Amino acid sequence: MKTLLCTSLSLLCVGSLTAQVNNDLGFTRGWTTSYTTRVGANNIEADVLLHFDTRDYQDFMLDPADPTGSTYLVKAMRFVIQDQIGNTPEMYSIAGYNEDPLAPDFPDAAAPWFRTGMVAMPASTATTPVAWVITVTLPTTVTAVPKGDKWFGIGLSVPTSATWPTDGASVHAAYDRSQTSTVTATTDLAGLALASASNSGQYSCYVPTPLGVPTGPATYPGGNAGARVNIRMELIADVAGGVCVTQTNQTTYPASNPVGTTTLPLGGTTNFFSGLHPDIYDGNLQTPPRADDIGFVVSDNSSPGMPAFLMVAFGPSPIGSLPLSLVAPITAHPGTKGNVCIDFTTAATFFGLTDASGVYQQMMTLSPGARTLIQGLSQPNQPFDLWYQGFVLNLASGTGPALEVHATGCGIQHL
Amino acid sequence: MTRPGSLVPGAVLAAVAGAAWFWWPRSDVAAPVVEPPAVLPPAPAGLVPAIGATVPPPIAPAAPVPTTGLVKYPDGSSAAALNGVTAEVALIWNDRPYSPIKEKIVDRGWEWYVHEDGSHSTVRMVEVNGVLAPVGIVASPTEALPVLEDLEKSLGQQLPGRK
Repeated sequence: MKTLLCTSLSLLCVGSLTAQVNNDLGFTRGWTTSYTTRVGANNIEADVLLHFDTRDYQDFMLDPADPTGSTYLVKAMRFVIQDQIGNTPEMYSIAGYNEDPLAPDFPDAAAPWFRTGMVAMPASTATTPVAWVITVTLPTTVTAVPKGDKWFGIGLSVPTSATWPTDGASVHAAYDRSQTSTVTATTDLAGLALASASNSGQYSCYVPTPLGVPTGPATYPGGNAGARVNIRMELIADVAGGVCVTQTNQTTYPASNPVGTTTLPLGGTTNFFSGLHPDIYDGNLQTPPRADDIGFVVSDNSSPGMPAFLMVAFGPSPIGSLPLSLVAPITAHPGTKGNVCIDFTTAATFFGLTDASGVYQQMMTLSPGARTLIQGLSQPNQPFDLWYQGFVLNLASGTGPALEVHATGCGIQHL
Repeated sequence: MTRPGSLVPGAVLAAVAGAAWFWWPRSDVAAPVVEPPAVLPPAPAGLVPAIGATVPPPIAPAAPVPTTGLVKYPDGSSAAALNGVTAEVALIWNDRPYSPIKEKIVDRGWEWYVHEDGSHSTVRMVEVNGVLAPVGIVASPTEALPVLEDLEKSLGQQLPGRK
């Protein structure tokens, strides 16, 4: 199959001169925010962080300058920060963490990837809460680090004029929902597989930073249903984005409905709850019953209207994650990016075209029989995993001996 | 979900390849366009020395021209950098269309450009891992959200320890 893949790609022998830069990876494309939160670090100085787990995403932010495909590089971060009293100035910082080598699924507070000093929120005269969508462009001094679990987040200072939540900075987030919840706010009931995620499905944590010094270990708030937090955090990098997406019938989480938006052509949620943990066989026994549809979103702002294909498989590449240009040498164009991380030897393949924004969304509707089969294969702590990886063929200009292909990372949906 | 045979992806790829090859506008492949060099205006007549006159040697500038930083926006425009930044910073914009600069303000020692849609943008030297580096920030107003106090209380129940 490897030979077949190489041969197939070799037939797409055209090149491109279009550079790919500053692409939203897509984690917030299908999104409804629930609340603003300090993730439990209510009256202390702390970095509130979102965990990007290799259980869910692999090779999704590879440094294009690294020919070995073994390091990550981020260009910018986007989030929403809120100040409870607009005219009492709050400060914040941003941070990225690697995994603690001695504590899996915990950020390494002893040696963060990067941390900035404090920066100001824009001026406001409001005495009521104000919120800002913030995009921070990182300097080139933030360099690549070995890939693996990462945490990205915001450093929140101690509230200036009163205790939280009377005053203080916080970040917008989506919350999950329990099966029996009657909360009317927008919250997301994920499939049963969420409980198998690390830290009981709690994706957000905080690292105290007294006097600006990260002091571990991180604290994950309890991962019980209804208290799990997904900080709204978008990452921007010079790679093609690829995220899992789920369409549900929930009225409590509108973003998950199959209604197209400007950022997601077919709708659905790309969050870490239902987005990564769909309920395809109504494991939550809801009324009306859930029968989520699943899929993947590829985004490549340098490749609007381009051919794209999506591979879907049941596991990782049997030869390990290797640069695409090594697995398929005909793609050894200078603009080719990404690794092959999916099991391409058994993958099913879907084809499509990116839209004018460079987005290609592929959804799959499972048959009732397939849903029942997967339900039988899923175990409480070992859900049935489905792997996705997208590839965009950049035919923007010119022809040449090599093909320019942008590979997304691998997304893993837990059914 | 069906799992097609392994030949299907290759076959369809080949079809797509053929179509792409057929449709490809080869006439578009052209040599790079080279911009002609800017033509400098001729020197004013009054500065042209008369034949035979003594021409004093040009005087070199006493100091180098100070470097001016620049903020580059996604629409291709740019503006002078703020807060003393001398580097060129290409700002990554927010999740909305770019809006032109309306005015410049100074707030608590921070210089900002305010844009027509209410967005604020700036660049500033900020410590990153202890070293000053130019950081770009774009802030756009959005709807504030409520705090779920009951939920915050429940967050007091922490996980028992590390995994």
